[in-house]
Amino acid sequence: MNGTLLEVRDLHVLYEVRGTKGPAVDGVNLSLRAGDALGLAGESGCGKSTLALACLGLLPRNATVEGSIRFQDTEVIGAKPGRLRTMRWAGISMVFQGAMNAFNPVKRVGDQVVEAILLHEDVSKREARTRMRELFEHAGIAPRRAEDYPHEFSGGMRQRVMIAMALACNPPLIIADEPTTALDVMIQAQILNLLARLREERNIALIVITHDLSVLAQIADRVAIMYAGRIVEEDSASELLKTPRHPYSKSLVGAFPVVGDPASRGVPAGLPGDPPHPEARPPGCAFHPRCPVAFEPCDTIDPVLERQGQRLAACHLVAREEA
Amino acid sequence: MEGKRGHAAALEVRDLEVRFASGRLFGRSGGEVRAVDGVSFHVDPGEVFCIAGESGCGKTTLGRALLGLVRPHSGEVSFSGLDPARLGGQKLREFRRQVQVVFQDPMGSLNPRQSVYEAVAEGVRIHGLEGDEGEIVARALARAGLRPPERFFLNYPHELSGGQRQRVVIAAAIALEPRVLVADEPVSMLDASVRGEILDLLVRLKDEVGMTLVLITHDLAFAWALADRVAVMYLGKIVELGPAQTVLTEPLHPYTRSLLAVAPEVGRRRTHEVLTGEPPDPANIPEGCRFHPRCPVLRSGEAGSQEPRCLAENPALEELASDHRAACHVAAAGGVRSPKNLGGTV
Repeated sequence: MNGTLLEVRDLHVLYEVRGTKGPAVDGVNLSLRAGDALGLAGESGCGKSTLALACLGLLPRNATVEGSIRFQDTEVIGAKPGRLRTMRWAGISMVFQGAMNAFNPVKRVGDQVVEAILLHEDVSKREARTRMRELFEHAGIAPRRAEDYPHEFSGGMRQRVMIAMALACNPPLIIADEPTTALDVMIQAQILNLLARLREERNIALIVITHDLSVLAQIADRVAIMYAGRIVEEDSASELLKTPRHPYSKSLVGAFPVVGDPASRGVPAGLPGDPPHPEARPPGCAFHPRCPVAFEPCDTIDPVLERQGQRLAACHLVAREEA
Repeated sequence: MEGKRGHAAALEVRDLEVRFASGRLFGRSGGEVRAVDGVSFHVDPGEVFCIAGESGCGKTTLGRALLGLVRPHSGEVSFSGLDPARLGGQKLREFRRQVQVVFQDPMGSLNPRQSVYEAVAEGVRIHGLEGDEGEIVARALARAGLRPPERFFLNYPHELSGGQRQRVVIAAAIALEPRVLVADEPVSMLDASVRGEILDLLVRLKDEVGMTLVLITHDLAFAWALADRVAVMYLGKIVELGPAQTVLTEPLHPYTRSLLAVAPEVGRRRTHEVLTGEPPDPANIPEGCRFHPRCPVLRSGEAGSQEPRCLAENPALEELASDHRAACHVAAAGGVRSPKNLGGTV
């Protein structure tokens, strides 16, 4: 099957907090083919993690979901818990930021990976152990370290174990939420290289969620920038990160100085203000109160995500410049 | 190394060593860890000085030693003549007012049960600052970008965003009108859009208040953006020291080049030459040049006739270009200056 792996159509996720409902994800469309690497970027609270949890059917109880998420031949929204359980791990697995929380501190890491394999596949314990050792080797961990406990690993090694575990049932899609955020530069580069290699060798599709655009420059083919629950710009990673069009993307890209570039000597341009709360979305373009180039239609008319060549952007100014 | 420009340095560090006993929990005691292993440098008043390196290189321990939070084994720290390790009582208190710190995690620096007003006022009371307390607190909060300050007085940390919390920490530090601010990874836990603002704030305060800023970070891109001078640390030693402009564009030490090769960069994909292995272990410092087991220059054979020295002799931090020092035998012999070695850019 070389077609579409994941198809998200008009997804809305609303959280109910103290009686008021606010959209955390507000009409998102995405599609991902086997082997694709998509980066989702935006500030805290832009809805990127909620989107990922929705794909895994892991949203908390106070969330209402509308729209459609098709993964392979499963409709995730409204699927039975048993169906979702088989889809996770074997279909989609997830790598989180704080790898420590994902492990049981009193069990050897190897046993935890074996357990995950046994839970999802009908194989003997011996086979599961053999596979666990292979996975460790694949992720760049000496197989003898399977006998160690989580606290005996450094942050980078723990993240490797986490990745080995995500590979346990050979899923076609891995969602990585801030996979390198708490790690040191050198280790971060090692983990990104590992993810890129696994993707190539096993044709695994990746969704990488982060606020750090420099991570996406290393690993993503395509990047979608989210703001206030919506995708505001989407294009190939190389194009979008080099020439962002949406003012919000521009400010995100501008927040990362480039060593050696005289233009980035001096303070990186910040973006004043905070993103809106889901229940208090501003009229017109949700970004207009913070936008440095907002003009007359921005505070009244909500811009739609329009295609210009390969680029999708939701901005009146970009549309005007194109016209 | 004393201030070349004729006036006294804001901060001077001489042969500083910090050691920790590395006791194993069960079994034999493990000997000593030399976290900071003979470090000397000076920082001029009003300068932004950046200490960069991987985790475990000793940059945070060095920062803590500057503040007098760990006691050095030998060597000295001097802030206009004051050495925190030799001070006590009233003098130490005075030192603590003049040298303030901002850590990475604002949540860890703030008491969750203390309101914003209390968090900022606490230091003001301890140091018995003259003037109206409410005014001092309001001014510090406004300076840190929390406006109008009165709106935040009664907020608790959990009610604030990450950027706002870091602003409260900064307000508490600058309320005391310090001469030096040590910031240890002040933005690494913050969102991209907030980072710029906090860095902007730090630099603006430096200009307005005339503060000296010591920035500890693993992120060379931020060092590039802000620093006047950069010190790159590896296993407790400074391996390269000089103006940000030259250290980061014409690095002399192979380690600095490796760090630059993995420096995050938007808009450009790099095939990295990533140093293998975990960050090195300060309990087990290699013989000779401490970087030699991971050194790409040595591995590729480019070290040439210097190779025996790399394995046997600890290189000294020598001035190899104007105001630009490096501790590398090969660089000292004029070996690895070709800019083509600068990371593998695609």
